Amino acid sequence: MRSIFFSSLFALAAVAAISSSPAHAGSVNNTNGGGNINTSSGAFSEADQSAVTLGGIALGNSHVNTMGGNNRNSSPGAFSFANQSTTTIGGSAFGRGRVNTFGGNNFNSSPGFASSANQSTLTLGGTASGHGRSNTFGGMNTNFAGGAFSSANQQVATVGGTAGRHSLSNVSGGANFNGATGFGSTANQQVFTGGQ
Amino acid sequence: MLRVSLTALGLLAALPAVAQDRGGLAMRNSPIAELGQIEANTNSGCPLSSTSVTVGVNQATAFGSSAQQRLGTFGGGGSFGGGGGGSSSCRPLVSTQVVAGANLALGNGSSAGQTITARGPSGVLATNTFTRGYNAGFGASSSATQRLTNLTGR
Repeated sequence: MRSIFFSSLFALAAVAAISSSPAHAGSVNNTNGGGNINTSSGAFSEADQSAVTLGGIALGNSHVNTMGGNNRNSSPGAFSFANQSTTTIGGSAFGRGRVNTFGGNNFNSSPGFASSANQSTLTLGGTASGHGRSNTFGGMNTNFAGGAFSSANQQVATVGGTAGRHSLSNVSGGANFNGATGFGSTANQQVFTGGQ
Repeated sequence: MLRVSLTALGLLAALPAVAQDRGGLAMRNSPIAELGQIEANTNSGCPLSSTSVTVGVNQATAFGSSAQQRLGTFGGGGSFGGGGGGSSSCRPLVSTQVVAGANLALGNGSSAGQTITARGPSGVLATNTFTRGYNAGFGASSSATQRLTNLTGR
């Protein structure tokens, strides 16, 4: 929960930076901060990973593609601990812009005995207004506590852009999996997917 | 152990290549306007393209060993100001920024820490930002900590 709090503060700061930056015409903004791997294989081992990616800004007939998903976090070692935090913030597209935001397909598992795996993924796309198009996808996440007495916690927040008048906004956040199959295990999953 | 290191190196080497491949500028709806911006950048002496690739590999292999790595790359231009000698008003047309890190704690009781920070300007026409990390603690009672920060000026 604390990581989500700090991620939200970072997102607010980024939005403030966007609103105060000068405009320029017709650009492409690709921000890719996902695809990270964090694992603690050894017994009593610890793996801690943090990745923050902040893209630029694109205005006027622009394309903004933000990819912060496809992260893998696992603690297969007995009594191991794996913690992963990924924050990806893309730019904005105004005026017939197109915003694609992808923050889903994250995998978090704690197959080791008495292991713990925590994963936090925040993906914030830009804004498409005025005949713009915004596509947001944050689903298909997996959280799995397979080891005996293990614990798996997953938090995925995917926020797409604004689609104003004459704009189109598609939001998808389904097809998630949360399971605790190990003896005495615990699995917590929180998935938020939304436009603005 | 060697296989893991080679695999991580291979993944990290592939990322800049992909970034370069996707980092070009595609003409879209208004090629005249884009050509005008190219000419404006050329006349003002601003760079047409800026590419920054920061790759780090850090590993602690021996029993009880410790390996710490800190990398920083700061490009000029953009709202971040003159870290690399560029002015805040002079931005490249196309900016590509890559950060990739592999951090491995392989030995028993080993500790591996890696911090990579990169800041660069945003492009006038295109900005491509890639971040990819691989962090693993293989040894018993090992500790692997990785921090990757990739920021583009606004």
